[in-house]
Amino acid sequence: MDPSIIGYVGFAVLLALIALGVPIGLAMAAIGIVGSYILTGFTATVAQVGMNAWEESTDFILIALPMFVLMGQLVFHLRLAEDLYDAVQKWLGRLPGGMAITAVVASAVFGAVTGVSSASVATMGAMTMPEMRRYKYDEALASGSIAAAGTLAILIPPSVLMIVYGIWTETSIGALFIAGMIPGILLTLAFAILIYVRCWLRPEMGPIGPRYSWRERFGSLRKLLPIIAIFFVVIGGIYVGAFTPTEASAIGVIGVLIVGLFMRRLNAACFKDSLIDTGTTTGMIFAIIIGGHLIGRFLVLTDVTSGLVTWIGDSGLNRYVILSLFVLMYLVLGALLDVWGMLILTLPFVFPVMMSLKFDPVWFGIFVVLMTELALITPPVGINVYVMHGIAPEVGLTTIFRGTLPFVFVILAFVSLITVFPQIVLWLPSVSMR
Amino acid sequence: MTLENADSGSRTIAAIRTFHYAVNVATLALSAVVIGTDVVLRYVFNAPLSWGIEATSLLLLVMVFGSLPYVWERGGHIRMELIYSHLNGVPRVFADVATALSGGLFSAALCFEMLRTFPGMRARHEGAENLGVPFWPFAVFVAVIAGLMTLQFVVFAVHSLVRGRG
Repeated sequence: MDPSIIGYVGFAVLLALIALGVPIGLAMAAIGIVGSYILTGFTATVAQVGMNAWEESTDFILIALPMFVLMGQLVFHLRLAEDLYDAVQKWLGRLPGGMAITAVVASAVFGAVTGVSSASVATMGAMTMPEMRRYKYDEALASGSIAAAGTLAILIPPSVLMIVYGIWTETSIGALFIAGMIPGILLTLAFAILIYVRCWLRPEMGPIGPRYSWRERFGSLRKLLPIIAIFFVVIGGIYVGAFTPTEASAIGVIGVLIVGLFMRRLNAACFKDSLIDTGTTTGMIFAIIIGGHLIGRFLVLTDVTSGLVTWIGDSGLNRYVILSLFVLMYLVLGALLDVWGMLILTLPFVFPVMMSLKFDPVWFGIFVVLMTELALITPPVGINVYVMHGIAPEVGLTTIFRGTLPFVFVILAFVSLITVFPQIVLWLPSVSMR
Repeated sequence: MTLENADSGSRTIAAIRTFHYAVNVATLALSAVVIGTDVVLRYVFNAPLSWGIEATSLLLLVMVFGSLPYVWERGGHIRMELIYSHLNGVPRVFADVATALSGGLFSAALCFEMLRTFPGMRARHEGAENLGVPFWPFAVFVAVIAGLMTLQFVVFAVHSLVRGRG
């Protein structure tokens, strides 16, 4: 049988298994194994499984993944976000929609020390939702702001999604981290402006918060120091070339532990919970990475990927038309799959196509992260919305999804902006890597 | 079902899970310490740890495979629940058996390959050169974990079939 037909059939069965609820990593591994067995035989297939599992799980660069996850978990369990929220709220709380803006800005800063989106929503939601309810904020605006702001954690470095993208596509993780900074800041500003304008037009949506003296405001800045220090050491170290991302991740963990000890918040329970959660997340991500490599190798054997690249190349379509089609594809996939499944499943196809169309790999990395951000807040999967619903069960899922909708349009507009002006993404890495 | 609520052998497997947790704690903490020390030694004494990368790479291997059975037990693998959460009866059993087969295929193949290759690793004295540690005990570790995972998937499949028949 023609290998490409085996490839297409294998991919169709993979989609069927995923639709049926088979865990994505296991489904990819199984189809990769069966497909390779058909094409190369038993010995080569099991050798590939062993080699793949060994190589992926001894890749020094990938240590950054559990380290950054652990750093985020420690920040979460050490309650550093409470200090952060308190400080930001004293400065921005008096603006129209000030508490929602506080949630956005605090989430962005929180994202600078953790690369996990749902942790950001869980932390900020638990703190800001009761406050916004007390001030009678519009429920859709309040919950939607928190859920959408959580997505900033995977755009603002360090980002676990960028690490996996970088490893998978052999793109510099340091360059990806640096590239995420300006888009992260701009998107934070865009979210804040959106809330401000909506609440300025309809003040009842987001009433003004309590007043604080200048002394209280400046006094609160002290509380931001630990998070800012950790961020500057980790990302600053990568920016100036002092550390590799892997080294920065370990330094970040040690930094957070020192901060926790210094603030007397680090205890055995907090440390244990952080380690357990990190272990679970790491295992889950590696299952997808190993499965993704097995299916990726199978697709290479069948020439499906190269066939697709050739077919798109021969179609004569403008590269921006193809990019728009990928935006649509990611919107549909985002409604069906989790971000990890979406990323690993599409990269073997989409990345070679984008490279053949001369898109920059760093730019495309940021594009993919933005598309996965959408997946986190669009129905029916929208993990951040479910996390938000878990924190505020009395707010309906429909209400939260309604609240995230304006942010979806902002992200889509931002994707258009970085497409027209790719230097928004590429300028900072080009300066730092010089 | 996960191994947590499987009746037979659950205590044994819970003990192994605790072991995995201990391994996880040790590997994460050690990795941070080794990498951190390496950076400090490089900048302060211009003498990085020659075995640092090898040590942390092997720690990552232990961490990943030490976590996988635990991830399964906690239902931590990502799946698309859109259809699965609405499945009942035979379709649900079919989905669960497909899951067990998929996972079992991977873990059994991995277990087989590691058991097949470790004697060769031992004979050839393959290992981390700077660290002076042979690879074969790690291959055995992966084989044991993969074997345990295969057992987990078998238990899961049997339980799903029994529940479906009931």
